[in-house]
Amino acid sequence: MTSTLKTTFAAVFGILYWLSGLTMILSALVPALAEPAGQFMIPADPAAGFVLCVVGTVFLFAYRRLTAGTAGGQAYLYVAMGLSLIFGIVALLSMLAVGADLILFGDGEPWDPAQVLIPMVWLALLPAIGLYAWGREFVGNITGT
Amino acid sequence: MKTIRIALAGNPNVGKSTIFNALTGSRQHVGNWPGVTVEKKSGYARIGDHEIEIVDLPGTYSLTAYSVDEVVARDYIIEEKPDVVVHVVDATNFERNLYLTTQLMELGVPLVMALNMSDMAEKSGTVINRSSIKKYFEIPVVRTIGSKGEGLNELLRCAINESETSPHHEHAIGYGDAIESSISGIGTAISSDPALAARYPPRWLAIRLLEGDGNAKEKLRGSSAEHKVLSLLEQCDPDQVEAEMADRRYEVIAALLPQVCTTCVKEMSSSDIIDQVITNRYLGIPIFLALMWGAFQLTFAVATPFMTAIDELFAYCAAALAGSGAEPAWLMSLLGDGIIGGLGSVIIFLPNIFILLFLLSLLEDSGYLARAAFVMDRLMYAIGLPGKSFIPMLIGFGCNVPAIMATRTIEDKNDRLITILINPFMSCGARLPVFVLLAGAFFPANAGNVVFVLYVIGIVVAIASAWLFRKTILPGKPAPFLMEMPPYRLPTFFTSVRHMWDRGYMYIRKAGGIILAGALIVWFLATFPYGVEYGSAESYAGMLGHLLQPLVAPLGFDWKIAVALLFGFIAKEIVVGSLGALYGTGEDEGTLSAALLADPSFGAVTAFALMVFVLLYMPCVAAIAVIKKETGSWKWTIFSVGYGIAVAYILALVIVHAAPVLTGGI
Ligand SMILES: Nc1nc2c(ncn2[C@@H]2O[C@H](COP(=O)(O)OP(=O)(O)OP(=O)(O)O)[C@@H](O)[C@H]2O)c(=O)[nH]1
Ligand SMILES: [Mg+2]
Repeated sequence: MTSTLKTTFAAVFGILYWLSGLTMILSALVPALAEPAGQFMIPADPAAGFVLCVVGTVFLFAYRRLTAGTAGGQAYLYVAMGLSLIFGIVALLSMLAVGADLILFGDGEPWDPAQVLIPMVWLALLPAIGLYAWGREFVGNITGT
Repeated sequence: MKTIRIALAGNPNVGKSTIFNALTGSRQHVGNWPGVTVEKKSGYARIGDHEIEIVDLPGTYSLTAYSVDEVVARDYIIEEKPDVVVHVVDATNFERNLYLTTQLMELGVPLVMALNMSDMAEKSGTVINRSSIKKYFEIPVVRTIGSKGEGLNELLRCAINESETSPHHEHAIGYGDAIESSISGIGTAISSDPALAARYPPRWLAIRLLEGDGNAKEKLRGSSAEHKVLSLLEQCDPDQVEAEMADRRYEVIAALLPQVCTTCVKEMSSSDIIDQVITNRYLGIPIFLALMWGAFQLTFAVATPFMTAIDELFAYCAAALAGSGAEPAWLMSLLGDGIIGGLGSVIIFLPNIFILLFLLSLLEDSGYLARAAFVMDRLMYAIGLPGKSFIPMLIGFGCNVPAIMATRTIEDKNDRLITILINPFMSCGARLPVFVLLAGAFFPANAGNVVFVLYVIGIVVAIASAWLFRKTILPGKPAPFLMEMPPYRLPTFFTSVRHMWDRGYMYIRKAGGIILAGALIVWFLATFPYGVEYGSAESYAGMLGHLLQPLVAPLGFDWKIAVALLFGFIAKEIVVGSLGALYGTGEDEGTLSAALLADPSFGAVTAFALMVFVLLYMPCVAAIAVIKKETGSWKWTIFSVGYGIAVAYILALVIVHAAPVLTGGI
């Protein structure tokens, strides 16, 4: 049961990360795309887009290994979730910092969270929970905590 | 009061420096990868009526030293003869550590074993029987947890005890009849020179010589026994003897191990499983790049509110100063233009530097750094460098000085020289202010990405140069990558903050010292001769600048930049400090970036070319000094400076001329 859940999870997030990543890259290259992408709160940022694609790829690797039953499929999934958590935190902190700057020192400019890597934040939510649910024991073994 | 000297020796990354810091209250750098300590460091501790000098040594796998850091450790133990050697052992990796134990035992130094990382070992179920170690190896053992300071007092007491019990005898490993007879023959020959035999235990020296240890041969030089020993040595084949002896040592270890450690069996740990993913052939490099992007993203974003706060503070001071209308005018200018403009423009960037250093510490403490080196090994090998070179390159992002020192772990001389020569291209924290200032002013929408690109340019130039050196002046084949992967550890916030502070403090000290001095000199040059308009062409700075300007004119730099670059030789932050002093803070609260934007001679292309130039043009004075020290050669030091200037000049020239073509002449 859990294994189908994990496989689906890996596939869904692989695709979600890739879609958001590609959109970020493409809307930086093709200005016409920026507007509709902005509707979905996906900013144009090729570098961040690349990062999302990398995380997506690790999820897809996990999917392939989990379905093929090869060793290490779980490890790929955990690392993918770990990476998505790391970048989720990076994006969240950036968002908060930019917000704090505008609120504390801005001249009344509104704070537009959509400007700052937003998909990286919400994409990380479920993987963070997954990591907590499935990976506690696994991570505990590594860090000795 | 009695004084004794204790050396901390052991394999790399076992926690020697951690124990050293805990015992002496020092702040030596500690990191989760092999090769952190590359120099011996001493500190003091006191217990009862004993004053104890403790020496932290670089890690080494054996007493047959190959790299500079290992030589430091070996020479200290052998030549300076500490009263006691504390052999720090990683309990989670006990078997591997025993090789050095056997060598230290052969040397016959008073020995105490610190069974460190006991917390980790016990957690993973490893049981090491300390009383059997005592029985079979005849050395006292103390259980320690360096990171928590546990067992350290007992360790000291044990060491003192050991220094006072005598005599100490060597522990012989039997090497089989054939080798033993050579050993005793050579040993007798060595004993015929009493001076030599008093310095080095004859049996030990004989073994070293038989193993073909070049350093041991040097110890023989000038001795009356030299001739005899060398002729005896000629009858043996060192390679074969060495292999046989190593085999014997491993046999002894294998025979003893089950007696002392019942659970020292290696299984595939979670660490190994994660490594499979992190170092995956296709994913390794992309993951590394993504993590670096994350580090830069955070460096910029999180620093923003802090920078604005500092900026507002200085702007407030400048405005208050200008508004006060106090006299004399030159003093006001000194405070406003020199200190606030010059020093302030550098201090603004401390948050960036600190955050970057914090993130580098996280990468280091978690154990990722060694994996990054492993991942890059394939790429590095292709350009002719060992993967080990990658660690100094990454450390260079913090500061090139410790990074160049870190090359000591590289055994091959040419490998090491190349790694030293390319290190200044890795963009250190001091260059960050220049980038943040110019990228923020001229590329406001993409500042983070522009700075990221600059770092990448630095890496690319470094790699291309390495390839070039390999093909031309420093040929050779890189040594294969051999490095133990440290375990992953969840870095604690406070250790990483402490690392950040230990490294970042340097920038604060620099700001209060050399950068302030630089800014004041520039202010002085811009103010005098008395009566000229501040920072005008008639001031000394103006004259100097116009003298230099023809040199940089092809790059589109004006005289102010020329002056800034000149003083940037001392420390790269001074480039920003000088610009700050030369542009002044003006009457209004105008910031330096506003002043730069207003200058018609400054455009986006010039700004980018300037950033690339500052990135590459030459190592700062401190880095030059350490290059001289580590290469031991003025020739290579001068080469490094000249090469940097040439590369910087050519690249900046290309940018200035290519950019208008590419962008359609905006
Ligand atoms: N869990 C645990 N970690 C430790 C202990 N002692 C040291 N460490 C950690 O081990 C890592 C290596 O510590 P160092 O003190 O730098 O090791 P070193 O032997 O000086 O290493 P080199 O200088 O490279 O030879 C660091 O991350 C320490 O925080 C311990 O007893 N338990
Ligand atoms: Mg150390």
